Amino acid sequence: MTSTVADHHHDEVPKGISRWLFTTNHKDIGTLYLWFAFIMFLVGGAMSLIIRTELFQPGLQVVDPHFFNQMTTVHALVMVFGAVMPGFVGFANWMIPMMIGAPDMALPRLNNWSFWLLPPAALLLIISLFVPGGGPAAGWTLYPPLSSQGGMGVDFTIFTVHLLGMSSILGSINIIATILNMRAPGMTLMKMPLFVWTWLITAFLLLAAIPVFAGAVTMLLTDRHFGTAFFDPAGGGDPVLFQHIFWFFGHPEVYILILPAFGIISQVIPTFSRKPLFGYTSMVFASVAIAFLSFIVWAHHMYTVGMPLSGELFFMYATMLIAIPTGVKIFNWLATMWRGSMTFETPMLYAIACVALFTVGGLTGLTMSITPADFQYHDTYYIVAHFHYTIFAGSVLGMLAGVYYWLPKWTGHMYDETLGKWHFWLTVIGFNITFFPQHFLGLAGMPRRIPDYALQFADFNQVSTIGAFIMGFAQLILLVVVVKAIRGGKEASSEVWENPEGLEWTVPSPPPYHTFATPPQVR
Amino acid sequence: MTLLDATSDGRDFRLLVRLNYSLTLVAAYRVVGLCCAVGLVTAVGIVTAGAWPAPPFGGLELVVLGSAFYVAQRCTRVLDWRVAQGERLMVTKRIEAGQKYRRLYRHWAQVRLSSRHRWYPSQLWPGPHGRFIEIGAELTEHDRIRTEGQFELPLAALGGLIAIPNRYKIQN
Repeated sequence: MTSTVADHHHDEVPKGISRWLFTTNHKDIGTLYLWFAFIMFLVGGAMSLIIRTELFQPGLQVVDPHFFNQMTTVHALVMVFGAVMPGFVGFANWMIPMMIGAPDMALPRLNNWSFWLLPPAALLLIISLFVPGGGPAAGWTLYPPLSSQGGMGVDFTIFTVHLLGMSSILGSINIIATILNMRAPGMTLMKMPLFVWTWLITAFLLLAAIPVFAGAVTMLLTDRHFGTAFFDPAGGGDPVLFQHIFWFFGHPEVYILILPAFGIISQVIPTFSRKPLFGYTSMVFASVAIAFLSFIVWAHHMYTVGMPLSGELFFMYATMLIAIPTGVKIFNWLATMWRGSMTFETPMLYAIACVALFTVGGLTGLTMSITPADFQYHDTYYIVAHFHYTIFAGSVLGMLAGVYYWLPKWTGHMYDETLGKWHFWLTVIGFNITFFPQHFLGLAGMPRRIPDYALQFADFNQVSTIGAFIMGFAQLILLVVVVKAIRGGKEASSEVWENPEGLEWTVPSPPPYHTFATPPQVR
Repeated sequence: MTLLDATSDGRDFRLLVRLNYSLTLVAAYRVVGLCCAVGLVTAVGIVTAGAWPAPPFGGLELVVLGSAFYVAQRCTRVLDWRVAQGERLMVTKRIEAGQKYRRLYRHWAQVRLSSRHRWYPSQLWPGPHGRFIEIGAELTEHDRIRTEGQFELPLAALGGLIAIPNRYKIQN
């Protein structure tokens, strides 16, 4: 008997608005997630420019302090929950089924629902800025008593968090079910691409972390409206309890934001180094170790609340331990590049920048893990610089590496390399001009979340604001690059790059609406 | 996902319809069990700290996780085979309760793809009229449409010998 594949017809792509509203196709849903994330990225970015404009000079010029606090809060919520997380879920939707040889996600209708929970949630958050009392202004951590005393906007935020959490949980469950149940014959766990591995671990992290956050904000809601006193000392409650619960979610959340980026980098670097990934097994175990450690370090965010010495020592050493698996990853990427036939197309540039700049963020994180030193850094601009070096340089640059790497596969056209490089250099230079001076501001004692500051901080703040505008407007180049690639350009081959590894490169560019009619055999 | 093996003249063919199958049932129990165990330990810690409203959210989530695994596992246990040798066609449908067979005279076999509403998942029914058997319910919509095509192709190969007029085919 001979093997035949009958895929010559019935591959019509649905048309019109109903295609996007009712779609259960993983590629369509991936596209929806990616566009949603990009729009939220621009919205959150615009808020950061308002913040930086106010901070260009000491004194109050542009916005009032309450609105400034709302901007810092909503900027963070939009970027974390609206841009970075959905962005990576978009990558997962597009790439995971193709990478493991599955026809679609395990639960396609649930997949559709997971996405369509996001737009109303985002709308609620934005509307919160216009209700009486304004939006949430307690910072993205929503610490009581500030959040307990806020206006109606805080309630909107609580419901937003519930919807976003529900979307994330349903998405993670779908990803876990897909990876564990839908792999093609021969695709054993230890043959899965590292992007799939990091997403599997991320999905489990989400499952463990999100319900805790949902519980925390529900307690906040009952404190605000139903007479409970979980966080109110007057009623026997304890505001520090909220901090413990929040950071039990919040610290794994940091790794939820970074692990998929590590996965993307692990796909990009071997392709442009023309070498297999160095130390695949150690990369997998390092990711698992990072995930485990992320659950036992939460209190390093709250050294200054007054913990017992033994507690501070435990969290200090546990935090330092994270540097080991992270170091394994960094050295493995370097070893992959070592003596490789490297070329520097835009995805590779982003990958290298991601590794280099994330290492800066990791090292400043290590300095903050030392309890006595953290008393100096706590709530200063040093923290702001640190987490932007991890979240922007790690997650967002990793995501941009992925966009440029897979864009020819998604659209079927090569992107404009010159514009891509312009985007890269303006983003990276703008990013460093914005955030590197903030280390000095923090060390000099400038507190975070203030609209006004002492005169001696003016110079570095001006430099930082100029960098923010360069970085912000550079993102419009990405929009041009993507639109150009969608509309046309040089046709991409199925492999796109030179001998990339992975099942996704065995299908045409763009892939057919329905990818694997017959399961691919993985040897 | 479907696998089609056919001779070059299309007289004999074998069509397997099933989802990919990666995790054994025992392994699936272990994954869900481990999640429940970790959830329980976390819940005890959180309740002890006084944040008792958090664990119910975790419980709800575990129910959804368990349901997702149940659905995925149930789909992978369902297996449809169609084997045609010459003029005989046998459809085997393996379901949780056991197996269903349908032996058909191949010349009379048709494939019907129907949908109750435009937005409702379609149903794939092979068989002669009056004796249809649903297959591929666990597939995605696109897989089901493709499977219909794959099924029609070898039937048409024999149809060349004894043609089935289009008017006898059931229209939706």
